[in-house]
Amino acid sequence: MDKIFLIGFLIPSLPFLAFFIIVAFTKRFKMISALISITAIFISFILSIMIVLFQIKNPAGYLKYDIPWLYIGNLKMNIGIIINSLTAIMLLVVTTVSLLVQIYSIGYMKGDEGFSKFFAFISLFSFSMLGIVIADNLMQLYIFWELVGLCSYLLIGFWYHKPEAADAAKKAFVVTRFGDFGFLIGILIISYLAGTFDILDIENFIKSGNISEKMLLLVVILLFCGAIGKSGQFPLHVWLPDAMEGPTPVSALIHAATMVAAGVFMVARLFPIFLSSPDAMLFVAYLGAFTALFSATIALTQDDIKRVLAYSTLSQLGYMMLALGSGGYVAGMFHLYTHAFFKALLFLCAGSVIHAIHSNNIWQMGGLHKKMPITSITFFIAALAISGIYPLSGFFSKDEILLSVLHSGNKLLYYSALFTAFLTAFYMFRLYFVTFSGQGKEHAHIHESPAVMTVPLIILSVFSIFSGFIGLPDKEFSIHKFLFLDHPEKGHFDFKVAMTSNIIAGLGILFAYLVYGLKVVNADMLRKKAGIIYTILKNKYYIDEIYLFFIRKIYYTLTEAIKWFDRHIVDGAVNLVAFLCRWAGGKLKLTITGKVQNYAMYIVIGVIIVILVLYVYQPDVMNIFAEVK
Amino acid sequence: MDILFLISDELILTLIIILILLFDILFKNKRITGYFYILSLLFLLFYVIFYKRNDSILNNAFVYDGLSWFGKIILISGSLITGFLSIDTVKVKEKRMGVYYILLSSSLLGMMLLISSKELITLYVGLELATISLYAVTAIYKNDDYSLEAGIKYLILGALSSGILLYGLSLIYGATRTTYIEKILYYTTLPGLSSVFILGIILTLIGICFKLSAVPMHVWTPDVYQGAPTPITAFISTVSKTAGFIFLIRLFSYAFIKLDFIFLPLILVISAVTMTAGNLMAIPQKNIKRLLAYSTISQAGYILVGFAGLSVFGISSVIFYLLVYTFTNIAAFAVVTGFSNITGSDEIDDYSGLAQKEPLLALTFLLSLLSLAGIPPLAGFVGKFYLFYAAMQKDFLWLVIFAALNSVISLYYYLLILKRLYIFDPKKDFNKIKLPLSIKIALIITIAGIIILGILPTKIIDICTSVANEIFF
Repeated sequence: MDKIFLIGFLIPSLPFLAFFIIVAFTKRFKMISALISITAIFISFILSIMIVLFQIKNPAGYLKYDIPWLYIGNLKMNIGIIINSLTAIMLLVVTTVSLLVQIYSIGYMKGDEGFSKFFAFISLFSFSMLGIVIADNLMQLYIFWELVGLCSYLLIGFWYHKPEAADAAKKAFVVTRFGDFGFLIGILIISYLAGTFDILDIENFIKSGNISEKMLLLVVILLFCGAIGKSGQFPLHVWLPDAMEGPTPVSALIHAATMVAAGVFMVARLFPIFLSSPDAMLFVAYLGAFTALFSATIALTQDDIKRVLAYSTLSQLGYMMLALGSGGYVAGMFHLYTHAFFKALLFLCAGSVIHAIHSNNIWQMGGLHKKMPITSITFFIAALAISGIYPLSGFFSKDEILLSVLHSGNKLLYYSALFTAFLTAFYMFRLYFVTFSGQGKEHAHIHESPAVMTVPLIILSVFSIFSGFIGLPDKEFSIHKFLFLDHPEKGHFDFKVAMTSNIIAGLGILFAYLVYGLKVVNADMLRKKAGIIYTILKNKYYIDEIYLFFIRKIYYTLTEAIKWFDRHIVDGAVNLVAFLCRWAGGKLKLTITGKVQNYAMYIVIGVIIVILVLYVYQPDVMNIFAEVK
Repeated sequence: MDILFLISDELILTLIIILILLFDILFKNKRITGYFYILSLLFLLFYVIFYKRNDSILNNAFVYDGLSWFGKIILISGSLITGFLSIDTVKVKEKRMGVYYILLSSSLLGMMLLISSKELITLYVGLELATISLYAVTAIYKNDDYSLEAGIKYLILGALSSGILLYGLSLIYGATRTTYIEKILYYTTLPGLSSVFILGIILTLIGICFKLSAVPMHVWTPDVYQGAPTPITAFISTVSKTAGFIFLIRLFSYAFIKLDFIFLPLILVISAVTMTAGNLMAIPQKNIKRLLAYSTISQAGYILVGFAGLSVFGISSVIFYLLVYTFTNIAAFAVVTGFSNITGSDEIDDYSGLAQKEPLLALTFLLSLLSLAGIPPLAGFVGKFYLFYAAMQKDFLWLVIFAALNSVISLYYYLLILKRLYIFDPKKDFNKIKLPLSIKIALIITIAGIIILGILPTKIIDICTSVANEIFF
């Protein structure tokens, strides 16, 4: 095996090993558990860098390695990895964010009862996500996909004694399940048609044109269902805001690098398949744009610092989907990459604040800039980055997305994306000004978080500033020369678009400053003016309530009948079988008397019965008695 | 090919037996005998793996083909792990410790002879050597009533089954006037079947069921398994059973293959009845060794499903499952050995909370029981999948459905044990005795086997297929 494959296999295996060691051996020793987990992800991080360096030499190339797993008849399943530019960039994002989040967690989770368990789960989470990244066939991808779902359940519900956390975990698991179901059916259909699970083979199969357009549309939409669930696109977005019930480092990980990124990554991995169905692409683009706008409006009114960030994640994910749907493969992945850093930073800052205040409500904060300068400055940087201000990382990726939308020629999507950018800048700086500026409440005991927490913040803010530069067109290190579908692109830069987006973001920030910084415009008055719209937004368009209405009124009534049937008929049958088994076992047991003479008798009787049966059922071959005569 | 080279495996083993005898006389410390047994079998295992031969001597009475090669690997690995289990746990008077290893080795020798012979008398002699050694070693605890009872029962019922088998074989000889399997195969192609021959086949089949612990010859299993020293139980349930199945392959998948329309329905019915009886009777058991005894009965039923498959495919699936089964089942008995070594108990209730006290034991039990039930990605899943797939190729849908349902029943009592291990709190005070290193080694070897065979089975399946091919061509 080539060295590079070994590295590829090692990257996910190490966090798994860490998980295993912690669960099996070091559960009692908290710091050792944390160290094992961090060491594992650190080595994975170094190995990921090696993969990136390797891939830079030949960005167009890909390497694929399969170990046969189950070859029986026509069914062929492999365990395989694929290494290409997409894999490399994603490995880097996941390991970096996971590493920093884990270091941060040492401080954040300090004194928690489940300290070791937390690190075990985070390692498992990283393993599952890395498994998705390197998977070269749909079956393997799906297995890790489900594992990611499981880990998110475990981590969101980490403080399971809190009912909200337990509910949120359940919600995340059940809601994403709807999407996963479609995803699985999509996988099964396309694999059945193509006769293979291998992604490249499936792509070739589709290129060969052996599949009707309608079937392809169906398959692509079904596959996309998985991404709708995992990446929190409308209408399955409801789980993500609730998921903030988990510990904040987990939110950072989920929102930046693992769970929600899985959906976007999956679309990118299967991009040639998506590309072959223009209708489906249009659907992806519209849904993405809608989700982006929809969640940005909700984010305007939320009071919980993590909820605002959660809706902003939804909105940014919508952006990525919009980019992918408009054919902007590079733009979508580029934004995933920059977003990972500043969103992780935002969450970790939020965690730092929550750690100090012990509350999530932004109106109980305020004036924190003086008490927590590092948190405040890094948060400011991240807010600028997500708003897309030049020259921070968010600017480049957002610009790339706007360009690809513009190139696709759909004006409606373009303007909606611009408007979303305005809203994004506004709500992010609303958050910033309310939390960090002004006089603030009396919190005597507030102080900056320990270094183990602030250092990751600083590192991430450096990434948030500089990671966008690979988006500069026509440079040696330009992302367009690294990540592409068929051939390297030149990369574009449109001064008009860049100016427009910057001005719009600037307007958003200015507006937020006027309202929440200088308070020249009274926020309450705005709220009253908006009236019903405010109420709708505040209640998140009542989507949860609508779902609950359907579940309580219609679904429950329906299921009452089914429940009865299940309880009495199905369970009754099952219980009857179980009872019969136990009863028969109990009776049969009596035949084993312990007396050897009985045993001998059984044997002899058995022999006689067998011969008699054979005599009855095949008399001509068994006419032994005739022969003897 | 040099005859000595061809039979060198058996010669080496004979030499090992003689050396054990010498060691037993020379050294006071009997553990040395055990170490010698393990090391020499390890050597033999590698010797067999790396020197695969392909020839026959004595007019095809003794052959060295792929089947005997693969069979020997399973048998020797099983005996090797049995050695690891025995060394720290079998507590007989120092004087008899050497005898223990000699009997184990001679049983192994008999089985190696059995799977290499293609002549009825050699087959029978190999079988008897294998079984008679086991009768003695079952009763090695001279002061333990259970052990003695088990030995006697094993002897009496074994003699009865031997009689039936021998009767069958002699009828076959009477009809065909030959004891050579190749010639019997030729005989079956001739027109005009003698009923005596058919009766011989049927009696042979029932006789060999004793080794497989298949219905109606299963009755001895629980008593003997419970009474015998646990490592011996592990040996009987895996190694001895493997030899029995290879015997079955030699005769029924090769010599009598032309008559499968007569005996195949019988095998399938035996298979169905065996797995059901084993599973149902396992449910009410309270003693772990008895429960596992019934579980091995049902496993024999599953393996018989493979005989429904097409010739090459069916054999391949059966020998692959035998390998899987050997690792999996020995793992389970390794846990039982380790547990009774610590606590002195074999009661299932006492296993409560084992996961908190001895995580390695509990983990091995978890993996082996789930593998026996056929849960992916463990070895048992692949093995069962392959067996059922083989049966499906000849459209025995009913049998596959039946076997799958049976797997569900078996999952019930396996999970009941696992629930005790992982969910219940410890009931019994565990002694401070630590798990011996030898047991730990056995546990780790078997865990590795269960996982590797489950995740990367393709290479081994390829080997099995080529081995199965060699029988016919």
